[in-house]
Formats: sequence, structure tokens, C-alpha cells
Amino acid sequence: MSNAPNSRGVPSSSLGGVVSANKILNAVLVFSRDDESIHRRLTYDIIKESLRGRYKKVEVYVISPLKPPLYLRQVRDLLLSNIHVSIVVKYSGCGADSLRRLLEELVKSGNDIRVYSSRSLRDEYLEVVKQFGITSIIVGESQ
Amino acid sequence: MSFEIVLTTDRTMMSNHRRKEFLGFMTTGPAVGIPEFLWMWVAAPKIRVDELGRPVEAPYGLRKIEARLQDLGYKAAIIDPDYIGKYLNSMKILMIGHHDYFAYGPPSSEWWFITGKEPVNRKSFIRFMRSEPVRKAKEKGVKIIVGGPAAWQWLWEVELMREFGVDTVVDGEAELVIGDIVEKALSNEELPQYVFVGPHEVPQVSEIPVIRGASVNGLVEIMRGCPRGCKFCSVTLKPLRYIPLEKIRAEIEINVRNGVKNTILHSEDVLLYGADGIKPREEPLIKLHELAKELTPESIAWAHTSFAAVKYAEDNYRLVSKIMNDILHDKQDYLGVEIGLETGSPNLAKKIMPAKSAPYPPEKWPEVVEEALKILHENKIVPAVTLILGIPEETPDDLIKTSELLDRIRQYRSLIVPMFFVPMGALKNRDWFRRNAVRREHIDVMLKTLYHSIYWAEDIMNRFYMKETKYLPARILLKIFMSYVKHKVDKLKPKLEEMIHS
Repeated sequence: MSNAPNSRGVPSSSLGGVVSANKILNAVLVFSRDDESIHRRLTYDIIKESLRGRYKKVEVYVISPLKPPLYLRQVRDLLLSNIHVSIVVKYSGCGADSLRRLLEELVKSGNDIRVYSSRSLRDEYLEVVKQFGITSIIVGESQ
Repeated sequence: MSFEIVLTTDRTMMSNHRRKEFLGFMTTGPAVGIPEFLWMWVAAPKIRVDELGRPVEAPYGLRKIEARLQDLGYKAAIIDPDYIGKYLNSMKILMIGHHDYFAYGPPSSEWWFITGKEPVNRKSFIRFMRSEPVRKAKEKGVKIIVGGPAAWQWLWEVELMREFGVDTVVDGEAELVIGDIVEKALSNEELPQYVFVGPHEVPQVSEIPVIRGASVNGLVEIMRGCPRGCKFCSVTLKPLRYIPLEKIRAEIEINVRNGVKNTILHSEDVLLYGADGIKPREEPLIKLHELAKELTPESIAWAHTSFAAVKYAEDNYRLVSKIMNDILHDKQDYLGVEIGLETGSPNLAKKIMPAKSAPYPPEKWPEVVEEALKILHENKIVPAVTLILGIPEETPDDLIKTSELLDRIRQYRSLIVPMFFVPMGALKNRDWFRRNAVRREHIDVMLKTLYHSIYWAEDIMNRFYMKETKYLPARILLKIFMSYVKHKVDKLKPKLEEMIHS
């Protein structure tokens, strides 16, 4: 971690950011509709991996047609089920192009990336994920 | 002087509740029997502010974040909600904290459930967020960041989150994450919508800042976390940390310097300060109380303790008697504290709070409660005791056990408040307790607690709590309120009893 100061000249060692980068999972949740199986699967993964000590923080990026902050409904159960790791939730737009832009950014971060989506997701999303060679976890029932 | 970061909350929180924190609990209910403005006048009067609108006393959680932001070099201050309009030109971030934004926590949700009326804390908070200064701040592009123990409630109010323009919710101990969020907000970077602070990002003792201004009623944190691991509690998920005496000294001194003459020692279990696991130790507790006594001009209270710690401390070291009779005897004639009883059933205790009775076995839980209440009564410690109704594993037999225990503890001075289960802690993904789940056994327990509390409340008010002349108007209003509640319940009683015996 660099010791670059904040905008007030205080070193970043005083600012937090205590979780080292290799303990962070970037989880991308792609919703086409409300689907409980996505959060259940991610919760299961979080518990499993945090017990192994693999991740201490999960950054959740939501691709959803529901605009901020309404999409929080789709991750509420995930947030209420977790006590093990830090979770940061960010909205990343909707549509396959948003997903592509997001994955381009995340790949640069060097963190592990997983994409969680439901079976009902259109092929164009799955194509984008495939292009990045990222682990894609498809859960739940198809429409 | 101007501030780029303004921290605040609504009036139900920004008040010293007439220096009687139990009066603050009135803000968790709707106004009953008297108009709302009078209810607020009794429970949450305005607080004294300086020429900049900074309250002389402010909620402790806000004080911690204020201190952290100042340590990080930001121009940040807590401002009374009536004065935030003064900072519309300088404010870049508005931070808001609350114990119970939308009245979903205990006991607000229970009063709401029973009366069918919105509690005043919820109404007051929503009114504040819709007020002109907050709306104008948002129009000017001010980022709104909310947090505190009730942060999770925003997940159930996303429509209001949108209406108020809340940018980020921070859930958990924020000291180590707030700097990063503020930097992003000040440089107009995209903010995360929700931040849950997990156990790896909580501050170590050395990273917890000392407050810079006085806290409401002199509240001072002496430890964080709790080792008992009860399933319904979120505090127990945090690592256990004891605050060193020198930090406690510094905070009490700040309170006293700012005219707050009382101290509330805050911990989930004050008697576990410096403990050997869940066994209280004499030395740290004696030193803590001697320090508090030395620095505090008036009285000392405990935020919370546990029945098991009371019994263990007294049985092994006569520690409760020593604190009350040897240390605090010339300072005060009683001490107030909140204690969780939760259930009178050993079976349910074993399931949801197996270590609550420790070092005694959960099978002995009712006896531990009885003996501890006797110790407290004899030492003039007045507990506000909480029960939880509607815990997911609860059976009618569990409620009968609770009811039987209530009969046995009738003789001990205390207020007993039943609370409905709110999904928190390791049970936070479980369902809420709902109106149609109320059993006759619940009603029996609620009636017993009500009569118990009305009986003892008058005694407590006359002998200890608000006996000074200056409290006469508030005391009269409270007595009217209690008579009103008793009258209402007496009227309803035949119907309720019919229900209980049907």
C-alpha cells in the first residue's frame, strides 16, 4: 500500500484500506429480474471462502435494469446474510455494454473476478463474460 | 468558520433527554395520551449550541466520526439539525447517524406494532430529511452519507433513500473506511452505495480516536464487542477490545470540561471490562470505577451489564457491593443500567444464547436472573430489563417459563420491557415477528411486564430518578401518561384475558 497523502496531506496509512488487495473478490451480479438464487450462491461462496481465509472483502458490482438505489432490494438478502467479510456494493449500469466496460476495469485491478447470473440471462451477456475468460457462475432456473 | 463536512441527526437523537437517558426511550414510541409536541418536549428537548450551531453534547457515534475526520485533516463538525442551513455554502458532505432511523429496531418496532401508530423517532427523522436545508443541500450537490447502528434499515427503505438522495450507507465501525469514502466524495468520484464493514476492517484499540467534544449524558465507551456470542445480537460479531484507562480518562475529562457532569460507562457488559473471558475480574473494575468517580462531578451509570456477570462478580469478590457501597456511596444513591433477560426458558436460552449465563450453565439461567436481580435490588442498582418475544425457535412452553420467572422477580425493583424479535446478528436473515404470530402466552407476558413496570416506575421516580424539583413538570406528565396507559390496559384487560384463556 502506498503512503500517498490524502487531499489534506495526511498519509494514506491513516486512511484505512486495511484489507490487502489479494484478499478481495470482485463479484459481478447480473440481474435480469429478481432472482434469489444469485444471492444465495454468492453468500455460500463468501462463507466458504472466508472460512478458508481466502477473501476478507467482496466488492459487489450490480448490473441491473433497476436504477440506484432501488437495485439494493436485489442484494438486500445478501447483505443481511453476511457477517464474515466486508462488502462494498456499487451499481454498474445495465446492458451488455455496461458489463463489458465494467469487466475491462476489473481485469486491470488484478483481483479475482466472478460473475454471477441467472440462467434466464440473454446470450449477449454470456458472450461478454466468455470474451474475458472469467469464471461465470450461472445459477437458478431458466425462464 | 465554515465546515466542508457536517455531521448531524434529527432531534430525537440530538438531545440529552433532560439528562435522563431513559426518557430518550419515549422517542421510540408514538405520542400516547398527550400531543406530539409535548411528548417531544418531555423526551427530546433542544440542546444548547455554540455560536456556530455546534451542540454542546452530541451522540457518541457522531463524536467518534467527527474526531476521526478531524484527525484526517478535514474541516468537519457536528452541527445541530436546526443550524445546518448556515453551512449550505461550505458543506460538501452531510453525514447522518442514527440508532433507529425508521423505527425498525427494538423497542420502536414494538410500540408501532402495538399501537399501530408511527413512532416519533421515525416521524422526526423523515421530517428532518424533508426539511428545506437538507433538500437545498442536495440540490447544491452535497453528498449524503448515512451510518450508525441502524444503517441496515435503509435496505428496507430504498424508495426513501432515493427521495432523500442518500449516496452511501456505511454499516459497521467506520473509523478505518470513512477517510476513503470522504476522499472519493470530495473529488466527485463515484461512491459505493452500501459499505458493510467486516471484522477485518474494524479499528484496533490504538486506532479508535478520542472524542473532541462532549457526548450525550457523558457516555464513554470502555470496550467494544462482547464474548458471549448470542445469536440475536450484532455486537457479538465484533472483535473484543478493551479501551485503556488513559483514553477513558481523556474522554471523561472532555465531557466534564464541556459541562457534562455525569458519566455513562458504555459496554455491552460493563462488568466484563478487563475480564478473564466471561469471568469479571476485580482489579480492572475497581480501577475503572475509581477513575470514573475521581473525574465525574455527579453520578455514574452503566450502559449495560449481564445477570451472569453480576452474580459472578458478587459471589466471588463482593464486587457489586464494593462498587456501590465503597466507591460510589458518597456520589449517588442509585445506579441505572440496561440488562437483557431475553427469555425465562432454559431451553430457549440454550438455543439462542448458550453463553449468556456463563460461567453458569444455561439450565441455571432463571436462577442466575433471580439471584442477580436480588443483588441489584439490595445494592440500589435499577435495571431496565429487556425480554425478546417471537424469537424464531420460541415455543409456548418457553413463554410460560418466562411468565413464571416474571412472577418470581416481581419483588425486585426494575423496569421490564418486552421487545419483539428484530432480525439482527447471526439471526439477521430470519423473518420479523409479525402481528398475526402473537399468541395468548405473549399477551400474558406483556401484561405481566406492564404491571411490573408501572408498579416500580412510580417508586423509582419518587425515590431515585426524577426526585428533584426541576423535574416536577416532566414527572407529572409521566405520571399522567402511566395512569393513562394503565387505564387503557385495564379497560382492554377483560378482552385480553378472554383471549388468554380461550
